[in-house]
Amino acid sequence: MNAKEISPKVNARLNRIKIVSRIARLLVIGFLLFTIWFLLRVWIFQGTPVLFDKFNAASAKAAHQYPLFLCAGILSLFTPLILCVWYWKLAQLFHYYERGLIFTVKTIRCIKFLGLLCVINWTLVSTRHLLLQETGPGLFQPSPSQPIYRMEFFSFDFGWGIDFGPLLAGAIIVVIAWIMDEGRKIQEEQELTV
Amino acid sequence: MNANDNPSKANSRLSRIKKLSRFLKAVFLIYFVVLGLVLVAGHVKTPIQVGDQNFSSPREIPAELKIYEALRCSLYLLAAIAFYRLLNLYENGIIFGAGNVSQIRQLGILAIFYGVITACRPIFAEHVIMFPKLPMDMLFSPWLIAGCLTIIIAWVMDEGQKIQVEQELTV
Repeated sequence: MNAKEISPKVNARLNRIKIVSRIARLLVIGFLLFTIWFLLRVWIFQGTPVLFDKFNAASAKAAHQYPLFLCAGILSLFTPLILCVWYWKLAQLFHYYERGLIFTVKTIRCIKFLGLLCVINWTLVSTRHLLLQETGPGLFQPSPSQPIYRMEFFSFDFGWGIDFGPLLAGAIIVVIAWIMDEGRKIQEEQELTV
Repeated sequence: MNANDNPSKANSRLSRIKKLSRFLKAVFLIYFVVLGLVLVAGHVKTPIQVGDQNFSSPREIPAELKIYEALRCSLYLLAAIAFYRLLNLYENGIIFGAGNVSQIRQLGILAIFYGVITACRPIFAEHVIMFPKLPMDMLFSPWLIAGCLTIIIAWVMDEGQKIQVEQELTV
């Protein structure tokens, strides 16, 4: 086996990676544009976000609970924003793959960031849920008929109305990215070893 | 950086990976034991809750719903096995191997199946097919999207790993 025989093989593989990554990147950008369009449609053409509506805020038990309601509203604005950033980073990851960067620092950092975004999103959603619980029973409260506990794959609730599944998923992505980063560093160090 | 430093650095990194993988394996074992116990407890006490519906005895649960739950449980189990194997590989110091990629791909395939089965729940539970809703639920299922993305990432990693092997073979 010589270099002349292997080179076209590698090129063919790289070409395949480029084509598939480009398709995946375009699909992810499509999802991103669809999400932005959907949000704009809801917020601009159908009125302000529900939580900023004073009529809904009036369902809070007392007037002093309005700041809590407003905080929850602000937090609910961040979650779609995080989804957009998530799609953007995913598109970036496929862009790196398209350029032939597969096990590099950039790609691994990108995967780690995607996991971190899952964790941040979970924190925001949980905080919002807790803030809304403080405002008493209202539009966003879970119905009393809901089970006390719920345990499914990557989705479990201990009865607080908070789904811990996304937190677990995000943490696993971060850990796997960390392991890959360590593996990459080991490879680099071994290459440097004389 | 000299040759004497590097092996110890690599060893410390490997031992960190091993420790973390072992810890995650233990956490996952506990999680799946608890999950199993919760599932069993949910079917022992009455009323038995399957999705949104309550049943007073196991005999009341329709056969279709039993099949649906069995499929879901087997998917959990297969995913747990795949993830456990992946952690085992990491623990053994295999990080960019073909085995890792195959386990990640398997997790992606299982996520797709899970998304499809979850979207098909109305067929099992209510014997109805709502035409625009069913394909839309399938298409926009986060499990389906996550599964497809995982498969693509696994495939890219597999190709990358093959390129590395081929380049190592180049004289």
